[in-house]
Amino acid sequence: MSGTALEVTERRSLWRGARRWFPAVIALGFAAGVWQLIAIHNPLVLPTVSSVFARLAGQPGLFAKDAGATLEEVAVGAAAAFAAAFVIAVAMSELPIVERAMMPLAVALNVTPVVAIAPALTVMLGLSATPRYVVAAIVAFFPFLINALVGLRSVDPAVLELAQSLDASRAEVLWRVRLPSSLPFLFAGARICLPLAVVGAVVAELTTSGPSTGLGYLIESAESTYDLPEIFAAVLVLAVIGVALTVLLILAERTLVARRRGQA
Amino acid sequence: MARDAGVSQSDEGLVLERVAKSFGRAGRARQAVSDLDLRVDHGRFVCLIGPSGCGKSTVLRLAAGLVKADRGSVQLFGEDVALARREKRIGYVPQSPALLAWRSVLDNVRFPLEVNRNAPVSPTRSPEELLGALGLGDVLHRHPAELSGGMQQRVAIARAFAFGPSVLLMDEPFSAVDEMTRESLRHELLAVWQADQRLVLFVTHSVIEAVVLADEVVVLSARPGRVAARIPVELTRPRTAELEDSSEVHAVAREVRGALRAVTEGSR
Repeated sequence: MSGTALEVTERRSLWRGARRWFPAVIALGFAAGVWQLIAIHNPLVLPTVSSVFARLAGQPGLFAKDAGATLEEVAVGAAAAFAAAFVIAVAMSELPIVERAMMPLAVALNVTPVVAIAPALTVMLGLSATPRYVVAAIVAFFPFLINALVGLRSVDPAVLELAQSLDASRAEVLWRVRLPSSLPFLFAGARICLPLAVVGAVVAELTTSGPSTGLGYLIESAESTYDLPEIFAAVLVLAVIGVALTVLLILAERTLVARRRGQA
Repeated sequence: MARDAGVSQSDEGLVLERVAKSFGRAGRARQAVSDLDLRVDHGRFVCLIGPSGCGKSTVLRLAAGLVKADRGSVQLFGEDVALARREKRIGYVPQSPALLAWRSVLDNVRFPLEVNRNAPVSPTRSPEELLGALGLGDVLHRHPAELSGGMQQRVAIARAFAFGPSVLLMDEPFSAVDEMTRESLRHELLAVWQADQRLVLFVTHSVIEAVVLADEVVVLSARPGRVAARIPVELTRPRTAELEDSSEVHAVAREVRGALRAVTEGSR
């Protein structure tokens, strides 16, 4: 009988899931319907939803290839940014002088519109994908740095005192207390920064003359032929990428961090 | 008596001599303790009590080597407290449980064993044994967020005993739990302590708690903290929960309250 019981719980959780997503699905369908209605009457301003999907379905290989190129830029850029930001955050939290020296620079980098240096990066780094990696990394760097720094400092002072009473070394405190306690903050940082890296990569594709790949490049070339359905199809793919990355991060966070909140 | 090695020629345990400590900037510094003398011998359980702001916690933190005295000396077993701390001889229990949220109960108790591993430790009981003695045998693999406040505090106590420190310093460890839990916590602490009777300095603001736990109650005066009275508690051990309502306990408690009243009136 246990099989049946399992089936029942499974069906129940499916039903619960469906009930949870139901409103969002309805809202999305409604928005698509309104869009379609407006687009039918203004074909030159807005492509119809059906034409956007038709374009996606017509050349799935092209979109997949460009999505892959953009994703690669995001992955390389974000990985570099996260690694650098994390190392610098550790240095800053351990040595106040490093923070005093580097924080103004990091803030300046953060308030600089990176798009402005993207063309220069092409001149500096050539017609490769490197400028795109760099722009994606620069955009993702600062918020991750701040989150990592806050996380490393989020330790309960009483825990630090306990470690001090045992004469734990700084390395031990860093490794066994500060790093694990910063983990939720690293995830929060990644949830902000991965979508930002996508923005950075697309902006770089639009503004630098690198390889003829990426969704940004696709949008730019579609623009020159007034191909609105293609542009919107590319944007739709970008939206899906953003949602997928966020969902992946939430799942990873659940497995790695949830237990400490008593939700095991 | 194969009690813990070290300097055991004398009974000297914890000795604070003419200790002064102030906080804040020069000029506007606030004297937390001044001219404080306190001696706690080996194997004694001493409770520190006094009006709020009298520097009880400061005394404890001085004894734990967490803050340095401006003047005077703080010695544990005839050596400077800084050295005792380096040798991992101090079991500190802060006011909050201070557990690591990402670790299981068992791994929290093992934490002291994982840091400062050069220091020789002599645990008399395993983490599992200690947790079992404190009624946490069934939650070894749970995480702190899944436990009640009282259970979290039990984990903190097990953690302090886990590496066999020669002295236990407890800073109002039961102040955040309800009265019922608090009562059972003190008897569980006594039961765990009874097994190898290390030196305990226990800060509390509950008179009954101090009397039930201690061999001696030390009353501090306020601003700056000084030892105002020392009241011996001559009750037989092991002490049971029934003792809480006994006339002996209340007689000593009355004496402690009298001393506290004198201190509070004196500071007005």
